[in-house]
Amino acid sequence: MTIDGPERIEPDVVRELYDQYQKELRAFLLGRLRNADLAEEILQETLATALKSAHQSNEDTRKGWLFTVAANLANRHARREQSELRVVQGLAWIVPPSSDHTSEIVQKETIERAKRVLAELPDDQQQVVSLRIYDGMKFRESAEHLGIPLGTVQTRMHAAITKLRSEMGRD
Amino acid sequence: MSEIGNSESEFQSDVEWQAFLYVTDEMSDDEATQFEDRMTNDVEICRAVADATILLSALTSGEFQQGTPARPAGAERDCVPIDQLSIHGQKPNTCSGGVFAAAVCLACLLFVGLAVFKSGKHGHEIASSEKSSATELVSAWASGSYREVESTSVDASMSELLEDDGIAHGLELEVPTWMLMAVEDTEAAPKESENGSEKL
Repeated sequence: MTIDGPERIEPDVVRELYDQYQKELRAFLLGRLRNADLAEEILQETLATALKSAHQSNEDTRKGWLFTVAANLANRHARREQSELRVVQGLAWIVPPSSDHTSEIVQKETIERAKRVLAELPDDQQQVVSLRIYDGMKFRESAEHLGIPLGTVQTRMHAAITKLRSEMGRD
Repeated sequence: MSEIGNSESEFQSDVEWQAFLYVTDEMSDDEATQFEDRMTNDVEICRAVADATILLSALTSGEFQQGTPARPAGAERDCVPIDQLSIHGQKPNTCSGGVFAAAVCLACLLFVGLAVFKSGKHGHEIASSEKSSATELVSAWASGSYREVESTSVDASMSELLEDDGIAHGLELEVPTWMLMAVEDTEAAPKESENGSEKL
């Protein structure tokens, strides 16, 4: 891609933006689209748009601008491919068996930290996390399985997620 | 309903909790659509979705690192491509060997079929003739066989075999004596039968 006008930002700036935000953008797009390859495609499209139009954004709010572009591109694509995206069930999209994309959004240290924090959680919180994430049970199913109210499951899960998030921080 | 009073409504304002519900598919379709629409206007929601995805990836990757099978045992075996299947580490030559064997079988079948068809044709011609007597049958057998030998051009090896027997060189075909005796008996039999019926 060539830079036509003097107003456009330099490719080096886009590269810096990529280095700085690609992990978060990729994670957002993966969560939004549930497809690692598609997320990668939209990420590239986002950066191409940045190369063409990022000069219109404020430098201080460029990160927000990138997310907005990515969200709009993802929405547009998702509407076009609605039926295909709805096929993805459960949490299988998180770790595609034949993909390295997961390692691009989460580091080994982050995984180890998450495991450590999880092991330190109270048993009842560990239980709901395990049922939801490892056994694939929805909150309602977990509630029935454990014989406790749905709200209790949600409260325990909320507490567990809050603890995990605060301990892990943002990479 | 919950351990903490009215906790569900408290959670509603928690964007990060909402993002977690979104990525874990705990939202209804309508809720998910509304949440997706909000993403285009609220960067914090996008970042919360990114964080929830990273957290979920970390927890799930941890599961895989611990060796928990991602698929049922034996599922991988079902997915092995045919060209990677091997017996004792050797890849079988499934294509060329099979084609060669099929070609040889087909050639053999054609050869046998042709031979059966030709002999069957002669036999049918002879047997279907109501007028043919036993003598005609013998001569037909002899001449038919001889003609067949003359006209056939099946292959060199077959010609060589016939030459060895002297047949291909125009030598007289010897009719076995047992066959001549049988013919004589057959020709005599109707007369006896006629006589017998007269007696009756």
